[in-house]
Amino acid sequence: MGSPVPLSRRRWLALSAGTLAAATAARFHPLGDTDAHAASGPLQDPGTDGRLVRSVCEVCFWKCGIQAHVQEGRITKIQGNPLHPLSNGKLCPRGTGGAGLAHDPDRLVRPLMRVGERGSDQFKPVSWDEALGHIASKLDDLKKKYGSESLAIFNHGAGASWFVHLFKAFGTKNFGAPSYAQCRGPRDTAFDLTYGAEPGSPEVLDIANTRCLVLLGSHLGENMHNTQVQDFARMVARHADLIVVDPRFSTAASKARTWLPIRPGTDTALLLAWMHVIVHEGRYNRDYVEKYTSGIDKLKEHLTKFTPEWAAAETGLDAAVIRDTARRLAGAAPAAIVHPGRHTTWYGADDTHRERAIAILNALLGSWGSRGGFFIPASPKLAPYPTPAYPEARAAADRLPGEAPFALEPLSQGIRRATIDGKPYPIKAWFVYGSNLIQALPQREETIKAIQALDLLVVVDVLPVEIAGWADVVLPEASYLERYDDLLKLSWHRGGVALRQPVVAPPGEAKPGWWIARQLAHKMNLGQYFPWTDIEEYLKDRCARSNLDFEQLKRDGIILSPPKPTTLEDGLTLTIATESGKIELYSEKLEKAGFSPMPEFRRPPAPPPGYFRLLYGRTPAQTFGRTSNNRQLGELSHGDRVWVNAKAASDLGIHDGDRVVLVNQDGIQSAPLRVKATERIRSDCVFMPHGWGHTAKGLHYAVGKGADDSALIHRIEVDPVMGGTGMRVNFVTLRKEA
Amino acid sequence: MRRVMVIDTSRCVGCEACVIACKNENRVPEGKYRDWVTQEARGEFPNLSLEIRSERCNHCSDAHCITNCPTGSSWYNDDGTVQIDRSKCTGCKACIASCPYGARYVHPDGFVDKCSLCVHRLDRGQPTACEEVCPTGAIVTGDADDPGSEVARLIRRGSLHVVHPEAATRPNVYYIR
Amino acid sequence: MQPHVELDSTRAPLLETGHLFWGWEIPVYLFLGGLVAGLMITVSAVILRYGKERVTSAMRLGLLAAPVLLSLGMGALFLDLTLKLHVFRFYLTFRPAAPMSLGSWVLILVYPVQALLVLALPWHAFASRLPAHALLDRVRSLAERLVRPLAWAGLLGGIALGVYTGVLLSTTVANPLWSSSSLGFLFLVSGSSTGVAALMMAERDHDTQAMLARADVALIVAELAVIAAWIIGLATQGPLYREAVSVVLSGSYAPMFLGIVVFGGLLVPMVLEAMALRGKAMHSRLVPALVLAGGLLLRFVIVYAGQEVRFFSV
Repeated sequence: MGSPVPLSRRRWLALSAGTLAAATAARFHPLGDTDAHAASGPLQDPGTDGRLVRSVCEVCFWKCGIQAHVQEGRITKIQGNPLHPLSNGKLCPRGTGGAGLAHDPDRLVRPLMRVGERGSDQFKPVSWDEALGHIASKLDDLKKKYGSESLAIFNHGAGASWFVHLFKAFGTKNFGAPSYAQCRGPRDTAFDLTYGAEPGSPEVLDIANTRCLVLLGSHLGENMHNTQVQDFARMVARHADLIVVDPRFSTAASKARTWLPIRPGTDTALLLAWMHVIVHEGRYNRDYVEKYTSGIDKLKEHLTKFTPEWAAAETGLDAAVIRDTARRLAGAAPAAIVHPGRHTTWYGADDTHRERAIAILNALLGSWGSRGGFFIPASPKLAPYPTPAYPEARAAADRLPGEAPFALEPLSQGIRRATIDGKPYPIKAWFVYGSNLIQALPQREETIKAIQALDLLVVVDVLPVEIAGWADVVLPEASYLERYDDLLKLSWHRGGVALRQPVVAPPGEAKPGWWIARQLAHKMNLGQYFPWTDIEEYLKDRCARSNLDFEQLKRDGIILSPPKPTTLEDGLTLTIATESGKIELYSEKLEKAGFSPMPEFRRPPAPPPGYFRLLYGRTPAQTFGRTSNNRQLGELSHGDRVWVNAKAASDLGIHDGDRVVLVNQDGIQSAPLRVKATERIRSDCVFMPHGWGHTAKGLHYAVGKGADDSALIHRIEVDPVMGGTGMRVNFVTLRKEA
Repeated sequence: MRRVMVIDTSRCVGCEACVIACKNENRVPEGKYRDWVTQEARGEFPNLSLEIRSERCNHCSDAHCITNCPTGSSWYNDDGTVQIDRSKCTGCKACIASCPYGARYVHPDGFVDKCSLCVHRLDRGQPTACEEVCPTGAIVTGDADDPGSEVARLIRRGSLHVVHPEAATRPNVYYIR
Repeated sequence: MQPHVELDSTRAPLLETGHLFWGWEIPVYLFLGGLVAGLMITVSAVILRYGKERVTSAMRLGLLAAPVLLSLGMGALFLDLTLKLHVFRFYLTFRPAAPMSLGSWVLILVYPVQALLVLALPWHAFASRLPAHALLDRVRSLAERLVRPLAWAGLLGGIALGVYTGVLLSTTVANPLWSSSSLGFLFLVSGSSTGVAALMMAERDHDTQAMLARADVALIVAELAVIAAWIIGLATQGPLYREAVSVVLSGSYAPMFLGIVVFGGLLVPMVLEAMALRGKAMHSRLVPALVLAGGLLLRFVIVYAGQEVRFFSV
């Protein structure tokens, strides 16, 4: 027992303990801080709103209106322009991530001239003056020696318009956009032959109001064309009929009432059988066919042998299902769409036939010009800026006489061939704008051979993509977020004129295309074709001539034209732009040229044993190989895996996530990539996204990611009608890597 | 007021525009996600189905992250959403451990972050960033306690489901199949 | 048998590699905290059962080491925080529903209890080494008089310290491997066992060694039973929980769990200790060393394996 604490100390202790207790109690609720429902509290505002600039996207060709927020010279976020009818305030992931291009640290920022061997990627930075002076002088030499037609241009994108103008003034017709013969060519030619008009860019499909949509290979949703996906979603929400024909269970297939897992390469057979059912069972739109088409009797006879049973054997589908889907399609007419596709260079031999079948089938339904079908777009009135007429120029060198007679545009691979062998005349210079020909054209050893035969290769781009590494002169362009382009015409449910204007300043010495073209024009003594001093002067002038308020255009991003009817239901008078004035179910033009006047099916060869057919396609966050270096988009699912049927893979001892190398029929190997072993694809084909496997070292973010499908596309089948290069004709085998 | 989100998976195509719009709007750091897309494919060829869901913090009415937060950094806003007071966060990660949905992440600045349901926008009468950008119109936010709201209408229509209901946290993000 | 699901996610790469939210700091703290809890419980139990004279110098050393070990543990917790500047926020509020809040207060409240308990014990051994100080003498004599209440405080504080960590893990709810009401008890029993083992390492008195060994055997038996209850309880809850359990029973953590923790850290020491108690073997320092190693690795397994399977990962 210790001595008692003195009274004063005890009291002191008690007082201090008491004070402490009181202070503690005052600080806290008696039961502790259990009330989590605060009346108010700090809410985060990330503060990403900024100065708003309206413009037009160019991550893909669709050209949605955008509005970008800018803070201190940097883009914080990009949204859809609510006033623009292609975006309606919404945007796909690629446009949303557009700042990843503007602020890409790998951007081309100085004009470059080659110092090493061609293709060695060795350059020295030069001034604009020197670069453009060199080009002008070389082109002048080539004109004197070979004629101005020895210059060819490969272009992709709206910003090319200045160069197209310039080089038409120079005197060449060799404009080879790969988007024709490597992409939409078969359908454009087929629709042109049938309707005298093309499905358009963007495609004039009234999906929002359709009662039945058929997709053949189109993987909407993974193919993220903004407005089309908006309409598709509305259609799905309405529970309209959706029939998806695809060897792969795509996102679109997952929403379909019927998915037809068709044997690759046999779509034409299915289409012929559908037409057989619709015509022979009298389910076609008689009034429409009588009024607007010609050749129904010949078609009916031609279709006799293409029965569902016949098609079932070719396609691997069930004959009863073929009949049922045909009847459903006919029952929905005229608000029914058989989607024409866009990238339609598939098998070569019957691509135009397949697209002709699609065009004809739509005509049988009466969907062309109908609500819920193909609408006839309204276009704005836009006055040109007056410049002198172009000189006469020699016909393009892309084809020999009689070759691909129905091509609507020069064939890129044809220009390439003329570059190599000098027939029908030599091509000695290439001007490449925004098109990575190394990945865009199949058979890249041919592309390289052609490049080696050139006297001059100029590349205009925003990033050091593969083709830039082969150039003699590289010109850095301002990206779509950093420049004015020419006024953009919108042909849609309503016509409109949209403005692309700078959102932020371009990096380094990158310049807009209008400036480059104008500077070059003056050096080439073609200044009279660019009689204006700066771009705003040009744009204001065109606006004035077209009764458009330029300030309103700058503020709103778009000015819509007055509405007019676009469908028969709206009161449209439907005129067909073919020579006959009728939709040609039977094409005399084709017949005269020695082709089948009505669609035929050509069975493609089956994969050799142990091989899979190589199919390629889109993922939502990427636009071919253009976006692979975009660090914002790199945050999204890469999709850079190869889809292999789970059972087929496991038979080869391969499992989900394994690394494999694809080896094609000619022994070409891909970079390693990971396998997606899935139930969602047939066992006779594999699928990989297009645009990965970059080798250009300047693309620091993209290089080495995934594998390049275009390198495996070594074999092509050329469509004899219009020269399209069918590329789904390669087969691969899988080799497991460690 | 109970702010909820209703997402129509039949419309959603899994494009991930919602992911990147959110990243830009909310300055989400590289390699981290406030929202993301999950795809679930079921079945055997050719009888297959696919559900695509845009996911994020579910702003659960029974949020274990709030219960288990030792500093009161995680708290309920008066609209029912779960918010984070960065000034009180120590980065102890009890909340990350408590979230059945993996919705939270550690921000490089040290605090824990997650979807805020863009309340800074909702309070201004604007849609959330993901709702605004979505090209398929799959995402709808609103006040479930307001019988006239679109979300209340969708909830009344029924057939909604939530992610991992076995976690029993009463999530406020609903999905239509 | 669940139907086969093909799962794809934007964050797939993150889910594969970045799913750990708690690292080595947490099992290190759990071990040290549990050990200190065991020390407090053991010494307090000895005082209450046998009186303070029964406390040996090894036990007093353990009690002296307790605040040092606990500080190391709290240091590990501090390292785990990603916003260290805000650490004071733990102590501006008291949220009893949050085990981490409860625990952070227990952690600092046990310090004065430990200090006072040390002062309450007989000082003959090292009284001469400490400088004479008036206040210290006063506090010491107060503590000596309050030794029984202090021992109760030490016992209850030790129990709170030992239990709350298991409760913290189990109330996260989102981690199937931790979703067991057995977890609190497991940490308490395991912590007690490591506390006893630590004392056995320092103990020189033969009788005390035997007493501690008996206690340890009982604790290990209890621990094995709780582990069984934990595993079996989870395995009966459904496919998600079975998957979580499989990580420690047949998956990547099985060798460490079954081989080192259960076999080497529990079964072997239990047998050796029992044999020593029957005189069939010598009491050696190997046994408590195994118990300590097993205790540390048990916590590593629970913390890491628990983060492998979560609701959203299946």
